[in-house]
Amino acid sequence: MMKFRFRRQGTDPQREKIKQELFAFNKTVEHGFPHQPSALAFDPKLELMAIGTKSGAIKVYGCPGVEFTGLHSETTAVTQIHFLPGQGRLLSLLDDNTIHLWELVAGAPREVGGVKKEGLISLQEVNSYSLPGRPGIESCSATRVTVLLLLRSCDLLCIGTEGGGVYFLELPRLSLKDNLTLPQDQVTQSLPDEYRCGKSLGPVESLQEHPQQPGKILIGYSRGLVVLWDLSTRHTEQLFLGKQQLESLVWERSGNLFVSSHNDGGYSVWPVTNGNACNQQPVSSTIPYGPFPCKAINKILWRTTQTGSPVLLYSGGMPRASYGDRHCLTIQQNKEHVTLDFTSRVIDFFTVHNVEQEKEFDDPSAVVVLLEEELVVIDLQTPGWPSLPTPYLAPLHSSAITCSFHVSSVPPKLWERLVNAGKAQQGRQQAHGSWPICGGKNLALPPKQQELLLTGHEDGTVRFWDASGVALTPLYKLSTANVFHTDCDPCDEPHDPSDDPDMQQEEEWPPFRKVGCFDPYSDDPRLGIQKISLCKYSNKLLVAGTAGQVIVLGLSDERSDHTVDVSVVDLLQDREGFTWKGHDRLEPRLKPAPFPPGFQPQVLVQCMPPASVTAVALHAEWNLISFGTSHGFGLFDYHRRNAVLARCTLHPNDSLAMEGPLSRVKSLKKSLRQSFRRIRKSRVSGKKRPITTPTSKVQEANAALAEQEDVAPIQRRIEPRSADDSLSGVVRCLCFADTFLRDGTHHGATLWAGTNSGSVYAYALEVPGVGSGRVCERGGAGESSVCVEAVLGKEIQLMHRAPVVSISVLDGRGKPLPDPYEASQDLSIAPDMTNAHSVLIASEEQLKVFSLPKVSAKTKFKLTAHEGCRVRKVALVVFGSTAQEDYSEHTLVCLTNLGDMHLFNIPGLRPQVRYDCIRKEDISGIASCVFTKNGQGFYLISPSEYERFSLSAKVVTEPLCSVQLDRSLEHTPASDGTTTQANGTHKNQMGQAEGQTEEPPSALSSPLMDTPLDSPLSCADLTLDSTGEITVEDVRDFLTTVDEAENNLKNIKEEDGRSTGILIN
Amino acid sequence: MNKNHRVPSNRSLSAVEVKSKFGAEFRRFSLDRSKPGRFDEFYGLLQHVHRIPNVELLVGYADVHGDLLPINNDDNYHKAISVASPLLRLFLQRTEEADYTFGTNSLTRKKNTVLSAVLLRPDTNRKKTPVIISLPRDFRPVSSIIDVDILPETHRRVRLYKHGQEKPLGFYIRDGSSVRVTPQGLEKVPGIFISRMVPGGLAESTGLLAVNDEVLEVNGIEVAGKSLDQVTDMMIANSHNLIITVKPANQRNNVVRSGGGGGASGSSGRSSDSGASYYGYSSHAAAASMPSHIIQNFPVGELESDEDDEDLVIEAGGEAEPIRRASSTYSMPSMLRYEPHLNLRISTASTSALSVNTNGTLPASGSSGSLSNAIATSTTPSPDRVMERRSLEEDGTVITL
Repeated sequence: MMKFRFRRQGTDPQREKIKQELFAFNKTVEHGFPHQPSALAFDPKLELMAIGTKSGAIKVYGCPGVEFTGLHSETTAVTQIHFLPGQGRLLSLLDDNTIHLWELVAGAPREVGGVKKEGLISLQEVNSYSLPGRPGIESCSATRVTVLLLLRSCDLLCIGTEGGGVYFLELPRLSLKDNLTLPQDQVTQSLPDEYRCGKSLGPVESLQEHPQQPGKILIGYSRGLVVLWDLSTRHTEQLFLGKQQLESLVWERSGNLFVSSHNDGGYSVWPVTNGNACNQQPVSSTIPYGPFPCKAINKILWRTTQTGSPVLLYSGGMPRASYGDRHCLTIQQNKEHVTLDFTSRVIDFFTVHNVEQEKEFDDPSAVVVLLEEELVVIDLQTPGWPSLPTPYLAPLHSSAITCSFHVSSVPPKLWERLVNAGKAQQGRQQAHGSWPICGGKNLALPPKQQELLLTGHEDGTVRFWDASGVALTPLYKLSTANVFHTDCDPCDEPHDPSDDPDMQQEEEWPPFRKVGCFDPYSDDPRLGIQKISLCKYSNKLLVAGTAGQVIVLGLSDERSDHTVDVSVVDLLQDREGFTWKGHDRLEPRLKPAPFPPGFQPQVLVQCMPPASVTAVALHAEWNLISFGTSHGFGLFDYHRRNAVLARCTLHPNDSLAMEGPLSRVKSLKKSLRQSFRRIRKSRVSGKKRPITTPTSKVQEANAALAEQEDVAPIQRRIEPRSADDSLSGVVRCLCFADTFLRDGTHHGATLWAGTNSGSVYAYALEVPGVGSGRVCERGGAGESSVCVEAVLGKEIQLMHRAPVVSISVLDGRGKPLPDPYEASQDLSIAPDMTNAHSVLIASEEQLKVFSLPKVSAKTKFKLTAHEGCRVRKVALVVFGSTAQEDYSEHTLVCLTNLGDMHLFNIPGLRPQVRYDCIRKEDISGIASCVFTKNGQGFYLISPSEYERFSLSAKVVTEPLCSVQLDRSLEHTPASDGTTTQANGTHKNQMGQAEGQTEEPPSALSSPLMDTPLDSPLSCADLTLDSTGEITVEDVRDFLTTVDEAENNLKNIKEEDGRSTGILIN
Repeated sequence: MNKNHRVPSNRSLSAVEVKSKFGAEFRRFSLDRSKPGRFDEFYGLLQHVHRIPNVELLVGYADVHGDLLPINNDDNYHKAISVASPLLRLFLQRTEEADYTFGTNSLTRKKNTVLSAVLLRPDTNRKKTPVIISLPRDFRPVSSIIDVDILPETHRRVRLYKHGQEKPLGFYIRDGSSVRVTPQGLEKVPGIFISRMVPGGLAESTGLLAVNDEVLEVNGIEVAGKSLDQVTDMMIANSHNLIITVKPANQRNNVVRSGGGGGASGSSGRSSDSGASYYGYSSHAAAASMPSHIIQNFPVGELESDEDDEDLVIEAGGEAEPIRRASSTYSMPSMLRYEPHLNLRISTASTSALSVNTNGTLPASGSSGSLSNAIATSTTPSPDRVMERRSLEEDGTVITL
């Protein structure tokens, strides 16, 4: 042991260099739709769109692949964004009443994945300003900003406030022009007495610049008064004495009239004619959805067209009683009138139209509506105003995501067929218009390979996404609901209302049209998808769900009407004393059903009891699927349509497993409540954010008090895991492998299953035509009649009884076995079948490699014992080197419950690097993490967004784009470095992680000499000597003879160099 | 007899296969698991099958851990039958011969585990039969204090042996804060504390841990900076052989090492935490470099025996049967508690480890050999130890309250 102590790998500079060429941690891009958007803006010159979120992030989008992210240092909601058109600058107003100036700056060229990337552009904050409030008055003071107006000249920012005053800031320096300030009293003085009534005008609700005459602005006050103010002469040019509470204002292009929208659901058109200093009445006043009381029209746009009548767009205004809860946007032109009915709140909208001064008409081409959960774009040039599919910002969460699966390097043929199936699906929805937001240039090279991300959803759909590049785009959507009888039968599907709007109009007023795809309501929670597996070579898809349903699907380009074969597999195997109290199984549809081109179901296997499927495995070459639930696992031959094996894994004492998901919630309740308490406590006591408000002392005192009040501290029981812990029978992982289970000379098909209580079952399979030796022995037997057989080979009980997270078999060279078909079709290097194989079993607590066929431990790493963290996700990943084109290493990537990534080499299991990745409180993020085969990964940072990260120094998918600007892209010195992570969740970790990569002696890989030798940091060297201290797990051998087993045991003893006790038979 | 050898498994669960050894003779027979009968009937049966009707016998059996345990009443007889899977191995001796035992009758505990160490512990030292009785190693330990000589007196390193017994570890931990003295003054740092003891649990029965003891290390890894959940997971991962270093809330029961004063104190100098944990974790290395200072009540190799977990290879029937954990052989409650000053002030002052066994509080050492060794060396402090002590005194700025 002494001699190992100083032989640490971390001190090897050669190895350190290789590690730097292999591993690097970066969070690269966020896919999906920003969580809780709160502001929207558009730069018509650069054609860039910006979205602000409640967490203080600003995301700028142009053409697909162009995106920039900025994050405010405070996690405060962004309430408004305004572009400085053409400059690549934008202003943001936060909820804390601060105004921030951002600009696009070119960063230094850097090297990514061995390729030099020229001047990457990023969004950085350069300046901020906060209106001085009157001392002593808190946030709802008179200087709280309500609206911003940026003049077209881009040198002056007008600020409307709660107190009714209008302030002016010089740009880009953000300095207050005191002499221009317009207090409300000045306006009030010019009012006629009967209108004044001694009342305040209320907050400034809208500021709009005159479209033709620069320097004149329209100021709308909440009470209804609208003032045309001349900035240069500083006097009121015209007054419009509105009586209704004002919501918004918009100019007509010519400047001859403007439109105001009001709280009562009406809008008024006002004429602007010279010489008329005081207008009492509007030209017209309409309440479109009257006469019954209506909700306010929050925002209105008036766009002129060449064809004559203007297009009017407004949000809200619905009749309060009947449709007050709808989220609507109305588009009106002449007789045409459409009420877009959304499933989530309208945040903001804008039109894409002509902005050049010389053009006579607006001629809007599209309206872009930001909703709380998705982005909808309506093509205004195509008759009927169809919606345009979005190339990015896809609402991943249109139904809640329940699982995900990633497929690397998709064969072109499968890709093409998927794309076609997806096109056929969209079919009629395909709009003629092109995507209106197309600023910037995507400099990223087209991806070398196609990547597919599959997401399973609560409503029983599986969505296929193109994850090859920066923009995650939908490819194809598969629904599994039509395999079953559900309440809403897809056969008598109602006609899409968008098909014949005329009919709808006759029937209904307002003329609603459902738009968007966000639909969080599931017909039947049992349809939810739990596990997905796809064989990319044979195009077989395996989908398993909440009610124990396992569906095998094949890809077909033709529409087909057929019945799906149904099999029921009883996983209880006559185990007595159990009754399932959970949900019923889904009723399969017995009549033929129409299935559109794409993946079509072939076989349905239903597990009994119908508990949620917890693990699946697919081996398309052997035509086998395996599936596990909390009760056991089964093996099914989908070619011959017969169940090969069903094995119950329940522990006799486990009563909880039968109670189904509902009552389990009860038992979780207490622990949930406790964890909430913990979170609350950590929030109160954690003083991470510097509190700057004058009340901070009080808050601090409160926090201290809260800490003291914590009378009943959380305590944890220290008890080893026992066999009868609840849910011990849950099958956690399944794996097929062609390896040596019976003996060292004959390999064959095997199935491995691991459970929650640390049991591993290994079955030797007889698959006709597979395996060496065995087939020859059978020789003459007619293969067609031979069925697949499964014989229990080994049962391993891990001593620490921790749940088995993953099982994988390593070949003679210590590399993972290739996927089915890869070896037989020469798509990868054939596995080494000459040297002894080994099996890598990762439990929550330990990683362990056992030799095969005699299951004896070779190496292990006790992660929990050293680090106090538990393994959550494990993947075998190939890391390519940035320095040598052909050099790569297989690495075990391990995500723990603390959200950090540990990388280990295989089969040595020596720690390589460790990165902080996900916040440990983000349980759903950790649970949703999925790895690619080449060192990238995805996890959910919100219900609607995947964060993409890269652990590889070579394979990095990140936005690379440029924008043509009026100004130079030089870095303004005032700016300070900000991180580019959105959602404000992980900016600190980013820094830490980078620090770790820069510092070669990172924690795990190279313990520093001055750390205590037995501190957790030095666990690296502990693995070195672990071979001598192997645990012999409880292995039940069913295939080898007693003598063999005994020899096996003796060998271990000899290797150990010391005997460990008498073995009692 | 010590050779491992296996017998083809009996697949029938209702019958217990018995292999009984008396002298050089074996007898095989079977018993009905469901109806084992009484001990005296069984005793008669043994005398009958071995044809030794009037010989007084000591009956022992090997349990699944490889420990030799006695059968002398109905309770442990039934236990033996119930845990035998599938073979029950018996070892019979004449009471008067008792070549495995050490004055059986002087033990109040009646032959409990008397045979185990000799037969089943692989250490070479143990091959020769000791003459004295009640050596600590003749008992299955449940807990011990270790590394007394290298830890500060205010700390205590406790090892709990879970083995396969059914008694729960039986304690809870919580978050808390402790005050430390630093050059900058008093500092409040978060810490992990023992919050509750389960009555009748292992932790409580040893008396070595108490509520409000601060947990400093778990199996040699410092818990500073780790969350409660992390420490919980670490303890559970090490639960079969848990070594926790605590700062007892009650500091009056601390082990006092420099009892005799004089030269003896030199060998047990104050050491810092980091130094202590070094030795604690890598006792192999420590033992190799300074054998005279590491005295444990068990051979050094055993410290690492957590790596062996519980070697258990069962050849079993074809049907899946839950793997049985070993059952407790402790039918008797541990009655005696750790009594701090009872045995600790030993004149040699280098009794560095203390073991609490089920049948009493015993001063302990690895072996008689190492004990004498320790006595010999303790009077002459080794120079490097003195050096170390000095250096530690110099940088002793961090004082733990």
